[in-house]
Amino acid sequence: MTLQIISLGRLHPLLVHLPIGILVLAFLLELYFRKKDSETENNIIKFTLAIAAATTVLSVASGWLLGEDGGYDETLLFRHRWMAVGLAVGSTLLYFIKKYPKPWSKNIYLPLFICVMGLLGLTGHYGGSMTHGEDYLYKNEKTKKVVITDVDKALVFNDIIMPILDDKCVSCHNPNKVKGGLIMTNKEQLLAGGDSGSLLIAEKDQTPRLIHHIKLPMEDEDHMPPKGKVQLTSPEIQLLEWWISHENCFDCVAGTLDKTEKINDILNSLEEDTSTRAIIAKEVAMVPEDWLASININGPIVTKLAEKNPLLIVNLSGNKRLGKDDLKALKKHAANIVELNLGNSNFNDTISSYLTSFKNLTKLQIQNTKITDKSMESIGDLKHLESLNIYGTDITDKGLEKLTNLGGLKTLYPWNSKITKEALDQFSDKNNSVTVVSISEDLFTPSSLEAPSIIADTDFFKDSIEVTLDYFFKGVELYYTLDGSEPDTTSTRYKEPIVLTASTQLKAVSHKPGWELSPVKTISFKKSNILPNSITLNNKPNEKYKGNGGNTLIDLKRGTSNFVDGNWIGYEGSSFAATLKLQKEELISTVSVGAFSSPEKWIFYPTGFKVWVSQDGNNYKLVHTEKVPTEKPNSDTKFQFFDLNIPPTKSTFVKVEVISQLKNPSWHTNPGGKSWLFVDEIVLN
Amino acid sequence: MSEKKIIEERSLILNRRSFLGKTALGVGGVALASLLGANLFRKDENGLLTKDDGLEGVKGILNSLHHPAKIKRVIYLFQSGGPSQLELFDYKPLLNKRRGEDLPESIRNGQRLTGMTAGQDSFPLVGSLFNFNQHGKNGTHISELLPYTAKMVDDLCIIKSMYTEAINHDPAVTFFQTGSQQPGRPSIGSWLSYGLGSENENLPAFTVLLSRGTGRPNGQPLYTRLWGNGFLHSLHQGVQFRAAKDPVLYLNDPKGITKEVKREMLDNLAALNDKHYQDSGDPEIKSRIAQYEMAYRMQTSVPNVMDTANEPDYIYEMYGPEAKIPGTYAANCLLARRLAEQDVRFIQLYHMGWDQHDNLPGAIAKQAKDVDQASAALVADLKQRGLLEDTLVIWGGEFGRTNYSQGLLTDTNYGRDHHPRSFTIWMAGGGIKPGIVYGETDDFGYNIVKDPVHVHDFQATMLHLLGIDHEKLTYKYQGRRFRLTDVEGHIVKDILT
Repeated sequence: MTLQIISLGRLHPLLVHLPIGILVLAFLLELYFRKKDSETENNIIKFTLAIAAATTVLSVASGWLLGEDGGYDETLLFRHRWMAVGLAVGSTLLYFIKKYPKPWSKNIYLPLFICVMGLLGLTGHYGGSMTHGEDYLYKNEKTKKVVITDVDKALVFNDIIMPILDDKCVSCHNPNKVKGGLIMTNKEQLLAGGDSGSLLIAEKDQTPRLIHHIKLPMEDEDHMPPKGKVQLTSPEIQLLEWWISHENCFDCVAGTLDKTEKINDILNSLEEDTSTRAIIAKEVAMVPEDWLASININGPIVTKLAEKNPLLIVNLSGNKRLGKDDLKALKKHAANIVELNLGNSNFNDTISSYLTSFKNLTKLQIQNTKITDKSMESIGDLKHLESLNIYGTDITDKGLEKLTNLGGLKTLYPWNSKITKEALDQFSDKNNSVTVVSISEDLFTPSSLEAPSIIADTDFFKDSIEVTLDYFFKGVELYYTLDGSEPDTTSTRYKEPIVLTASTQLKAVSHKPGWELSPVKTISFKKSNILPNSITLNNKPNEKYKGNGGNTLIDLKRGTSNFVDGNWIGYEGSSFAATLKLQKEELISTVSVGAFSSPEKWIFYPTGFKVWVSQDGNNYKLVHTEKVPTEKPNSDTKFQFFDLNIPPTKSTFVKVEVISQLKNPSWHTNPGGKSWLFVDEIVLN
Repeated sequence: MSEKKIIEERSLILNRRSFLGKTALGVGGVALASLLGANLFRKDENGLLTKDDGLEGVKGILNSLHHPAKIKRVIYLFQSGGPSQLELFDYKPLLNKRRGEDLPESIRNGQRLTGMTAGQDSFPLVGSLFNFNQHGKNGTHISELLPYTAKMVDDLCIIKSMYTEAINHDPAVTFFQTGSQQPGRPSIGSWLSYGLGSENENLPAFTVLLSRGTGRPNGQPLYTRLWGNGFLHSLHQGVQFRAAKDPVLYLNDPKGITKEVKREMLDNLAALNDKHYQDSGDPEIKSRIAQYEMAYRMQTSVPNVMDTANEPDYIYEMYGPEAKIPGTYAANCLLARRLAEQDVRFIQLYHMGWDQHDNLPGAIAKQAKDVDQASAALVADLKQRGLLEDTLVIWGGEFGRTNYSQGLLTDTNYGRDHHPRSFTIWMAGGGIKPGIVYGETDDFGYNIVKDPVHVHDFQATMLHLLGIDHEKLTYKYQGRRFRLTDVEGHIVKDILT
């Protein structure tokens, strides 16, 4: 029953507007017909007043019931209610005076009417204050908006949560309209909760009332905000939940609370982008796609910053035929262009005046162009400029001065321009916000000298070879020896390419006054004036390291430290012998065998050699046996030639046996494992 | 896919194309032409077909970026083999203190091991034989093996909490490059070429440079499929630049073939290929025509990029003496900068030889020396040229190395096995916070205790910087949509500016 009465009360917002309109109409009619005192006019006013009085009474009745509903500011309700009662009495009185005019009442009719009108205004005002808030008339919407520029520093309650409540809840939960006994305008009231209890703190295993009501189905009586009102969005609900889960902290800063990626995304979306580009983007319109297509017909020049973004990036770098037409073509939408790359092009002073149309540039790259100080005037006018690249140009200190008006400049790349260091320092001092990018010169100055490079076409030669020494670092002197001794500053100084005519071990060092001598670089050059015709191996090398078979050993190609490069042949756990057949009988005095060692890879130098010679290929004579001491413990990767000096013998066939140590030595990490033998060349002299 | 199925699919393409091309040419074609400007089907002055002939590749599939990009290109200095984070970046004095003690099971926590150490009786902890010093504004610990990198530390973002799912080289490298441990997916560079196209029409969007390290000169080889296009058009595969007379193989004309003859040959070939395409509808034919044209343009552009003779001495001083020797890591770093200047979008370097299972101290010293100066110089050089602002440089391998010794632990020698649970990489460049260390491992250098970064997170972050939403760049193949980050990947927002 109570419910039905209250729902009658809910007609109040409809009814309340009738007496206002009709009473005002009656008053205006009274004024208008004042001079004519005819029956018709009087009847019209009588009728109007009758309806006015009736609707006033109905309004008061419905309003009285609605007021019982509660949730309103008591003072306001009291005033509104009793003034309305007064209004009802007044308007009824007016009707009866008009209907039954008495001589005494004629004089109070008009003053009473004026009073009723005044009462009407006041009652209406208090009514409005109750539903819309007392400050409704004077409130300035704009000042209320919170702008978040850095969401990490934003106050969670003040900057993020309160605006949501203000937007969606406060219109019914404010001191004037206290629905459910709940006020949501400030921290204290939120903590106090409403008639049904605490808003924020949940009973055990329940969701806080705030979230509970929001999440109820729309059909539910208790769903908040009520059906028909503007609802909370999903991100807003997530933010409220996130905030409540942190024990409703009222003074926290967003950056310090832990958050899921989803919340992070939502928070970031709240951030107002105040960057220069974002501001420019708001000012310009989207560029038509067909204009973009036509300008990019010969290659990608203009690209959009991103989809749904009106800003453009222009890349004309490296264009050596850049002319004013290229820049003119962009003029139509120059305001959209925020980035212009003219680096390494033939951009120059004669066309630089076109830059002034690109007034919204935030980044300009004119590195390695023919630009000079003359063009800096127009660049100094680009007031949004944030990054400027002028490296490798002829711009001097004078040009730099033109940049002092660029308040937004953040980065300057002056490397290799003609601007002096002093001017740059001065500029940095004056413009604290500008980062002048430079790399400290001594950052990459070597702290020690490197060994020189030894450059030659090949490591083997027949008659002679020219060898060049080089070093990348200026002011360095190179010294070398050819006799295997360690070079120092008393050795031969390198001036011109060295010509070698015999097998030589070349050692070289770099020297610079005041520096320590560099490590020694060693390269062996092998003379090979007897070229075998063919070669046969007594047993096949391992399938994995077979190179080009025996020919690998006579191709005059040295292997590298990468032993799978195909220039090495390898034997696992066995020795091998090679027989070389010469084109004709030759006098042989040296047999050189190139071998590899890398104990960590189970590869060791040979432990010995045997050499036989033969005239006919059938009868061989052993002419030399050599033992090589086994390697001391080491893990170095290295390779060298073993020169076997045999008694000079004339022969057509030479057989060389290379003896493996077969098994890893006791000091190896895998003692007793099958060790490897790697050979790249056998050279005869 | 059976041959019959392929034919069916092609006939579908053909039908669709015929429908669009023939039926609608009257209306649609004209409308399209006016939309794109009148030069839709034009050829340039050399008679080259222009990109508007529908050749994908020069133009990416994305009409525009998903959001404004922080970077325009990536230089990925891949350290193949698994560099030991414990000798280079992740300073763990506890390992020196407890040297020789067994790795506690509470730390290993059931981690699977490779076949190389699974059989070991014990897992003796071993600390770095090399000293760490503090560098930069934040006092970041960097090993003495990386003196030049240490000087640039204020420009680097060092991530100590990378982790991967793979434990052996091939799946781990494949995972980093393609987002899947199984071969067959497109490489990062291919995805970018497909999505964004090439900014320089004379060079491929995706280039690859290889070098071998001195730390383990004959370590794991790399496979060309690591820079392969997977199921994308072959136009998007990485183009390898070699350190030899012909940097790109088969690019130069044979003797006796003049430019004019070549041009005429290509035109006729294109006409034949186009006819074949009209008949079969195989999109690979379109790729092939585009590749021939790209190769033709590269005949001039590649020698220009590769010819470093005009680089001044002080540049060689920066990159180090090896920069003069073609094929070294230092020379490749210099080339990477030159390619970046030419707007090549994805420049992939691989430096092999970081796989120090044994003799680690000696080998890693050499290996670190290979890359230290040139890597730091590349960052510095990009910086002074203003390129670092919109370039991302990444230094890192496929996994890290164990905190215990593989093989015998002696006073001066030890080895380390593969370790996927935590390792270190660094990044530098646009959109990345400079001079920070992100993530943390426990005192044993074994498990991540703070801010883990998965391989997919790394990939998602890289794409984010390039202006791409990693969830939106997809390619439909075999009935599902594929993406670089598969179904995972979170952007590492904390390292972004």
